[in-house]
Amino acid sequence: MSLPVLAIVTPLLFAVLCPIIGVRRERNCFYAALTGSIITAVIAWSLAAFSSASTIITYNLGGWVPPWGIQLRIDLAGIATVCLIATAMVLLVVYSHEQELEISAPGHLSSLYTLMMLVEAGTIGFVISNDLFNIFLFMEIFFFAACGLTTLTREGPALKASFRYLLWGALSSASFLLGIIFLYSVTGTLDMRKISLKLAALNPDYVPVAAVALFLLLLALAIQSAVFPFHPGAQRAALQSTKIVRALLCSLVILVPVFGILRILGNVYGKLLTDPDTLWRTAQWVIAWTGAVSLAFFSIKAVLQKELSEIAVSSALSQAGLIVLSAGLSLHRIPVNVTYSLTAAFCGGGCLLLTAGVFETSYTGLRITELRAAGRKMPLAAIAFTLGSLTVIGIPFTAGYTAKRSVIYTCLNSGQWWFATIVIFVSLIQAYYCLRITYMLFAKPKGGEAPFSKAPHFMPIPGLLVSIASSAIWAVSYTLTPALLASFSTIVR
Amino acid sequence: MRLSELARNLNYAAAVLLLLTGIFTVVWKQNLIKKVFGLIITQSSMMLFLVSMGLVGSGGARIVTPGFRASKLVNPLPLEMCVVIMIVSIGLFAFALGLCITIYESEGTLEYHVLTEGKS
Repeated sequence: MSLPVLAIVTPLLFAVLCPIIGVRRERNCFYAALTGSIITAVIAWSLAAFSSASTIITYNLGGWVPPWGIQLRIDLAGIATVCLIATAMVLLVVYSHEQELEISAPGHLSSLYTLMMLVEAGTIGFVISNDLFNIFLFMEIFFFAACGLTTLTREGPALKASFRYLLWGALSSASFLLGIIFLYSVTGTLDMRKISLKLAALNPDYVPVAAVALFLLLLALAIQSAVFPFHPGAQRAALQSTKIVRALLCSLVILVPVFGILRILGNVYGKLLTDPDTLWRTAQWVIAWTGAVSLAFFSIKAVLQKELSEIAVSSALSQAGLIVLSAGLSLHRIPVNVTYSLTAAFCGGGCLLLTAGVFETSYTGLRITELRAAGRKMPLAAIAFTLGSLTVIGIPFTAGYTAKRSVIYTCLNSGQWWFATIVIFVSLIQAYYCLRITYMLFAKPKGGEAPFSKAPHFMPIPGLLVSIASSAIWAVSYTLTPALLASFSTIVR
Repeated sequence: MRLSELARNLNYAAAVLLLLTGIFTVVWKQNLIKKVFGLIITQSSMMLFLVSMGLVGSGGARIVTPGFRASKLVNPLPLEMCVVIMIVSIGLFAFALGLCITIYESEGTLEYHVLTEGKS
């Protein structure tokens, strides 16, 4: 089956084709990117059609079996994430239409869509590759593409933010590379499955080296995921970018590295960590508390913000903290917790970002007070924002509820009631700032309204679809949970 | 650590020294170009570390030539990883230096503390 490699090659191919197709008429780049993203989504969902709890889909590049070649290996959690990435990219490309076409700088459109396709190829490759060094390369691909996207406006603040983002990312790459080097030094292989087997039988004298490698790998992923206190680069870059780049950055580029934590803890260290010992307890403590602090920090920051885009970015980053927390709670429930948290983060945080962009297009100012009665002029966007808010808060019938329920259940089952308390407390904070904005959107006008120009008519549609998908994920979760729980054995196999 | 151990692991010591120098340059220096050079030094330290790991005493390259003996060979995988890292680094630094040029054209300075004073 060639579907895994096609999922990576297709967006790469369209990344090359976009500037070529856009030579005569730059607007054609949009159609090329849309075609590429739809084909990739079809491939991703076809992979899902072949999957089950015990399925591991593998593909050896060039027919070379590891360790001679690189293997692509996808389990159930990986398939869910690939489907999420591919679907998200289709929605983001649709979302970018018209608002990006207004920016008439030459080369802007071909750069935008080329880099978006590269981000898609990099994130999908990051999720499904089974070779640690290959994962590093894909991480570099989507990171560089994201850096390039943040510079598209060519404005001073955006360039400065992009440089800072580049510095943080380069340090993250160095840390990841050093971790790979240490792992290679004790195992002699880069194939994740073989590393896992060798770590399980590792000489006790070399366990500290493996522990340092684990720390470096997780540090790198924490920087890429913009968890507190590694957030300044990504956060500032997101705020200075265009609406589409902000949505792409906070919904894909920042969230996908958190999935890498599942790969590292499950696929690489799974066998070494399943024996209860101090290594897992230490790693768990660090990961869970980092996630919890990040979750609380960004939620409180969102309350203090006055502009809608800043609130949306802080909310998205708090969702990343939730995913990190969910990864550090229980090794056996890691596929369930991380997958649901990831989908909730995309549905909730992504929806808020997409709809914030709609309001940003229509109003010159973005302060919450200026959005009074905005819902009457843009009902679709307001409904999408409300539904996205419900997902962020974790109201029943949404993906957010599924994620938080799973996390709280794991916390209470493992006796870590303090994390459950933090999650509930943060949900209350999220309820405050989300419902405050929702109230402003549907409140009666008070006169002296802000200048308004209606956004393109289908711009709110991606946000609305994402918020509806949130409920669909809740509905599917009751059948998906047992399969995800069972898939942990395939992750460590 | 004894001097004899240090002499045996001189490559690794040099790699660590380069890594610390690179990180110090990135964190401490205010000029953007110098920060980029700090990143270059950091990447070079990684490559030195990798190459040192692949060394096998008096091992030879895995190239079949007249008189080739397969008894002692250098590990080729770290060298191959170095090549890939070099290619990635070329892209990174080309982008970084291009960004520095654009920032200079836009802001008229390359000093980090001056750029971040008017907080964006």
